[in-house]
Amino acid sequence: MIRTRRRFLVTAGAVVGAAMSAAVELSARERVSAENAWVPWAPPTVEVHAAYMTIVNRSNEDQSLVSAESPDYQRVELHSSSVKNGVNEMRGLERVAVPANNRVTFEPGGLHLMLIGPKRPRAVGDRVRIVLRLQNGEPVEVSAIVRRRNAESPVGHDHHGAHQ
Amino acid sequence: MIVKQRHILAAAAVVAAIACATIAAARVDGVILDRAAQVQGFTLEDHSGKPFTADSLKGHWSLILAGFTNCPDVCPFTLANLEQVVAELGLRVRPDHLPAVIFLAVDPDRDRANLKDYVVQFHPDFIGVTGAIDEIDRALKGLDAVAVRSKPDARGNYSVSHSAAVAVVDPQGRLAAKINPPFDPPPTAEFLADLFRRRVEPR
Repeated sequence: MIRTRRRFLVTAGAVVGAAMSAAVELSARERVSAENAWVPWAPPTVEVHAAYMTIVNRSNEDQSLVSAESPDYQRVELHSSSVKNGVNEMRGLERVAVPANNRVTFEPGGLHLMLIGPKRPRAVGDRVRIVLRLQNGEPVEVSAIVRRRNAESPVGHDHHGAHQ
Repeated sequence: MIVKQRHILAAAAVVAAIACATIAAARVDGVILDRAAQVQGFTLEDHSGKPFTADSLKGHWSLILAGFTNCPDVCPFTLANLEQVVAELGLRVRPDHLPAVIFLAVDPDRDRANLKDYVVQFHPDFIGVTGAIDEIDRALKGLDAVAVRSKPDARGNYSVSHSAAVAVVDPQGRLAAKINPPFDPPPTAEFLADLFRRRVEPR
């Protein structure tokens, strides 16, 4: 019994070790990454979509997102929604700061990527490729999954979405 | 025995903590008008091209939000929440008391072409309504709501700012309440069920 358990622990340790070394390798190349990225499904006639995600900065330097593009859309803009005096406003942002060792969440009703002019219809489960650009010119690759707004969160199935 | 009892208490404390956290996270910001205000006349069209007037609001409860179809974030987020609110309400009120959900599209030039698709993606019974700007503004006024269209940029793109609140119109066609975001479905449904009950039951 004890032996079995120990072997299990050793195996688990090896898996964790492998995962950690993969993470280290990734963080050197992608110190800023996008996690749990998704695009709400919209009917084909709708010309403007949104993308939501969490941007994680694992570096010791403050970073900023300054632009975004997608081969699947004519244009991508950084946007923020807010309510002022009971009125919904949406404005474009020049940059979105992602402080060192911190994260910024793009979520409904707040920060979002505005995806303008879809080049083809998207089905639930499809992937949308987005490239975010940092202030130093480095790209951050995003693979966002298309899902319905009221569907269960893809968290848990999509942790590696940004790394595909 | 004592140990077991303590365990149960601890479990109860955890459950209580979770319950509190849920209550804190889910809330509703609703205001019931002291005197419901009749929504004055307007003439618009629904997403199938049929006339939609102030009289179309009579005979049932309505939840009305202003928005536009080039709105990718707040409007769909609100519509998706209202779909869940109505589903939650289905557990609390009679089917004939369930409200109609009406999306008042305030950017007709861009909204007409895709209004139906935009609205029914959330529920086949949701109704998109639009029309001439002055008729839209008349409807907005009756709902104590506003819409402001921004000046187009160099590319000809513009945005539309609009009231965030959802207007609640009673079966007599009167503005009865307003709900401000967030529209967390369970407390919003509870707020509405309570409002509907007050109006149905004699005091």
